[in-house]
Amino acid sequence: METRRCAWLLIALAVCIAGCDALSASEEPEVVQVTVPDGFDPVPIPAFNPLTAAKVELGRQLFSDPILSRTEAVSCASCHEATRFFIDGKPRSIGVEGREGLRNAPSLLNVAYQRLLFWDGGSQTLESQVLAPLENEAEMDLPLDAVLERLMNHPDYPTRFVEVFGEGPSIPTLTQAIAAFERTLVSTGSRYDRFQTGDTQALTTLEREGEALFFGRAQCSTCHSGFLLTNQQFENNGLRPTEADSGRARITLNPQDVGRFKVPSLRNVAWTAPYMHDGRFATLEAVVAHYDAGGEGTQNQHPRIQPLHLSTQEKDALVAFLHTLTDEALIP
Amino acid sequence: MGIAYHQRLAPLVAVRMWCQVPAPSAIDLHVDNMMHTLKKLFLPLLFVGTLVLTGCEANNMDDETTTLMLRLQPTVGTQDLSSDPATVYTIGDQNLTFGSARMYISEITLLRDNGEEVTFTGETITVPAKNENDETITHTTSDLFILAKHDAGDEMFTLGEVPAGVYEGVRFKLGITGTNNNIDPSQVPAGHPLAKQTDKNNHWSWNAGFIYLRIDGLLDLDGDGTVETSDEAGWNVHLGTPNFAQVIELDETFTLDGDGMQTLHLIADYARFVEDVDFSDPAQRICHTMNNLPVAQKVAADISGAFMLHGIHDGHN
Repeated sequence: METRRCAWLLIALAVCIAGCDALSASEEPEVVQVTVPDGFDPVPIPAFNPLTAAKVELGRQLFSDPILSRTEAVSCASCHEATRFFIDGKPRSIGVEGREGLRNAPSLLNVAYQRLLFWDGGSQTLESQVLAPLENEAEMDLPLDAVLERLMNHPDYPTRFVEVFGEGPSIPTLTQAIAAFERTLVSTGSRYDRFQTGDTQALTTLEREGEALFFGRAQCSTCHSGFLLTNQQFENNGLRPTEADSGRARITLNPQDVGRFKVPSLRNVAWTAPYMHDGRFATLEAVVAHYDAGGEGTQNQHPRIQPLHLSTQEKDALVAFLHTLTDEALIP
Repeated sequence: MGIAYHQRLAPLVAVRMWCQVPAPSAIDLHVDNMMHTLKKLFLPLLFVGTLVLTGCEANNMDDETTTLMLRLQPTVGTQDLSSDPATVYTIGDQNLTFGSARMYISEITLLRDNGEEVTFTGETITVPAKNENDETITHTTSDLFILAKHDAGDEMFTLGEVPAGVYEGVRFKLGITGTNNNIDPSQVPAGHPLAKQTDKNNHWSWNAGFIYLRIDGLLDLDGDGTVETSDEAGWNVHLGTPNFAQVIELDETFTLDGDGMQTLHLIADYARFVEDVDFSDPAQRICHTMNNLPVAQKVAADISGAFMLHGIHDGHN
């Protein structure tokens, strides 16, 4: 079974299709199929925003275009770099004029599967999420009317939008284009996938020991489960909270949600440092040490987070296992 | 704009909706098929015709209708509201200006003296939304929503055709609840009140749901009668989330005489929204609901008292 699918191939496919055959409004648009291997759910594509090659390519261009920021120096790709597994490698993202955001930029790989967006789940769809960084003062800081004005005055975009949507730049068309591109960012291949599908040589002895701990005594899989290695819930993993960020409680107003953040996917985790919602841990070793210590005993801490008393070898094994979750086709 | 007639007239509305089922394309219809279709439709058509005639008769008995407009006049106490930065208001012992002054109104219902309720409907939209399980669904609504942009002036809104008669009050909601509050505004057609606004947005970009009441401005911190422009002088209240939606019922008898156009004139006193907020306390100056529940609760508690039914006027003024 084919397990190696990566964003690059999909993007390249979309670019090829768009490049080879410019679409006119009267032609049937070419639909992009995002295929995934067995074990993965089909990529959710909402009926109101079908993927077409031209739309995905338009979204890719917008994603990388700094004119969507006030200073014309920051784009979506500034914090979600294609060559870095769609992260920026910083504890917290840096927006216009060097302003530091509140949280760590998560990878966009497999973002199509996310039921709710942001660390606190505050955004409900990929389309609506697009607008948040545009307006955020610490990110791109450009009012939406200015965004649309720039797009409408651009030498190419108005025509491109009409070709794709039959109408010019607008909030719905802008958000649909970028969201369509983001839905193609799928990463499904790793050594661990190969191991699971029968390649017994894909993991070393140490990595297999780590796997046993991950799904066993260390109880990592309580939250990091399923094909994305996340339960997509909001949990409190015992991090000392900061006053500025109450996590999920900011959205729900529920005191029991203070300190709860979305459980991230662990696919490609070895390449997406630093870790946690505020990027406080620079290495996987620091992450494992945090869980081994049983968290920091914070309010609302998940009851499963208890001291693990792992040996040095066991910690090394866990880290080694986490490295097997990397989609090696994406390594620059 | 339309109107939903509850109780006695409801079956008529249902029949009209049934009749709107799209017909097959004319190209696809052969004569035989057409005859067959007509035969199949004969009894339902007879039934519909009977009901329509019955409805017309009932309508005639129901006297006349009037086109009802809504004037939601913004004031600050006894003064008109202005977002001019030079217009400084004194509320309690606080001098301040208004920059934004916007609110969402929904579920507007007139209360008849015979117990009927007349609820208005608006443009039908079908848009993505989230259900209670955080699943994206396709949601259709014909509810009437009003986004009053009072910082841009005193606005008039069309409510719809209303039966003439005596009414005992009006009820509406400041805010939007249910699935309508989980609509993705980025996908709502421009021009609809729920569409993402490109300035002074009434929707959070970092959270779901609409901002029911958006008011902000500047404070006169040194008491010299003019506001400061520093960051510390800024104040805002962005009230949202279903917990803070408020049902307002204004029980006052009025008569719609069925003669052309009439205007329901309500007053929204923005001074009341903030009269219990102490802006001399920096901790009370910024409220995006979730970050400052104490202030959100104060404002919400004063909402119902901020509205008044001024009266019914002929025409649209």
